[in-house]
Amino acid sequence: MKKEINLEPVTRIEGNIKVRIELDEVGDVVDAHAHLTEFRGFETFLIGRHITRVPFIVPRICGVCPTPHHLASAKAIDAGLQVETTETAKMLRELMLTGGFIHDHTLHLFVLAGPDILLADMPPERRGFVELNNRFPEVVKEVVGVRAVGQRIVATLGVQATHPCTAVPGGISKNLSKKDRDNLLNQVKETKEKVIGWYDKVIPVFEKFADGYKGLGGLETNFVGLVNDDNLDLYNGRPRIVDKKGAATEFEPSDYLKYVAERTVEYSYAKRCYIKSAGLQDGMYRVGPLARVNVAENSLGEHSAKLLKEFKSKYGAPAQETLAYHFARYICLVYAVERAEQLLEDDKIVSMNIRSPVNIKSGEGVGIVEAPRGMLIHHYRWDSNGYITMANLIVPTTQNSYPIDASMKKVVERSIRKGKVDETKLWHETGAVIRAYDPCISCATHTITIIREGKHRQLLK
Amino acid sequence: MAIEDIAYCGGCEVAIADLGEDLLKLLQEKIELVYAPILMSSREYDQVDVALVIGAARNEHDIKLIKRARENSKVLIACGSCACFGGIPSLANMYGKEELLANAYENAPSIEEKTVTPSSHVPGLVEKVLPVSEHVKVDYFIPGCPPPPPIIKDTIVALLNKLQG
Repeated sequence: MKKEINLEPVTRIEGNIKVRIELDEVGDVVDAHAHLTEFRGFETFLIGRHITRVPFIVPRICGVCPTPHHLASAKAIDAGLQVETTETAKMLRELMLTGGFIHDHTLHLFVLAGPDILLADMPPERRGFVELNNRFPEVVKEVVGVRAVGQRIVATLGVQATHPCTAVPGGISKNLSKKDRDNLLNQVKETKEKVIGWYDKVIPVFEKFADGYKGLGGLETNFVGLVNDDNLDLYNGRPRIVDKKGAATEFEPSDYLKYVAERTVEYSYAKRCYIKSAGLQDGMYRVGPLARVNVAENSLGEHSAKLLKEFKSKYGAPAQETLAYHFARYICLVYAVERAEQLLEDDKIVSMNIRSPVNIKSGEGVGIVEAPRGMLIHHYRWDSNGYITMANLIVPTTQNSYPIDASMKKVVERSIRKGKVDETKLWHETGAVIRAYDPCISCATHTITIIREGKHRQLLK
Repeated sequence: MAIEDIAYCGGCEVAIADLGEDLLKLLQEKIELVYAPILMSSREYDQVDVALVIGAARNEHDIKLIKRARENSKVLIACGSCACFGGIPSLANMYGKEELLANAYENAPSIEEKTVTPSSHVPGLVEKVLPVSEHVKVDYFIPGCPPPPPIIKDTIVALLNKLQG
């Protein structure tokens, strides 16, 4: 008699994922898959909208990372109108993006993934923010403060932290006053001290956790992320592919269709993305913090540059260890804070020259930025009046859903043998691997499906 | 209190998290949060005083979750523009689900092989994306995309004070 186990909802991720495990007659694992169960269809609702409105609609793809959607959209429209944004506008947009990273990476390290690691002695279903606060009130207070600074940066530049609304074709509609700049700079300097301080307090615990599960969710994949002259970059960089052997290829955003492709999957609302030249099997790639530290050789931030070297010497280049995503995420958090400080210290950021003139004409443009979970691509075509005729969105979780799905079978096999299921271990390890990627199902299921670890866990015929 | 998420972007949850230290204080003094999949790991909940529903009803599974929230709560709040009015996901109603799926899974320029559209082991889409109040009785609405954090807090505190006498 064949059986199926469904793990749902997988909690502490943004969205709905279900893990489905198929067992054979003796109760061994035949196969396991991650199903993203949501779908909203933003590609369609953008059709017929005016390009000046699109940057306000797309943040609603994801309330956790609205800023990169807002900015990728503005970049795509700039590219298609062949308008070069002013230097100050670029700096303000990049600063807004670093704010989004500070909020998001702190949230994920401590609230979403952290409980598995910092509360490892508790049963999986009790782990969460509430218990974390009961046990580590001091750490949680610091985390709440750091996250708030990230949100304040986005809110100052983008009017509201969730769903910012100031990036417009040609630049940005709100300048940064000197007073706000001084305020933010002070807060960012304090934040930098706190975040760097976590290296001693928190990182060893994450490292120990990753070392204890060497190879869990292990895969050999390619990586894609943005670099600017070999350096980490979130807003201005060019996409670089690093293959399994470490060889690098860079491409222009407008050429993305020559390098990445997608295929649909019957059982999930997420598509499989792969490097076109290598094909579906060999072309599997990952994005996000692990990809960013793998594609970059260096960082313009002092501490993040040191951490990057330490990471590469420990995990190799390219690093394939899935749970190393957390350490990589910490490096990106340090980089975001350092970069925010650099931008705020440059007096050009308070200039009033924030927008280039724009003439609406027909066009096609691709905008790529790093979102917290990885490379984000927005691609639109519009008519001579500026109304969208085609929209294609390739979001980080769609790109990572293929490796997540591909790693599931090996992960669940560790907890299931001859019909015996170690449920605690199964939930713990499945959750640990999925959360390493910090999947955002809302993003992926703009077209995404999410798996939730949880209530509807059931054994079915 | 329980937070039930359906077709959503997560922005309302982030607005709740943006209460920051106020949230920590509320959790210590006033609110026992028993279910909130984005923030914690409990996989089910039973009777609660307040259920906050976030998101619009996009698929069959969402409707089940809305009904569960109504059955399990004394007071049900629709939080955010999607739950109150349908929000951005309800723009889909202008097109119909076939067109939505086709544009995402067949017509996108990055798709190499146009073969299958997701259909197995995923919840089926319903014809129209509707606000929560079209499926169950809603006691209170907190509109906004997302609602400003202080308004979420004041609403919940006022309700809990009333319920707890």
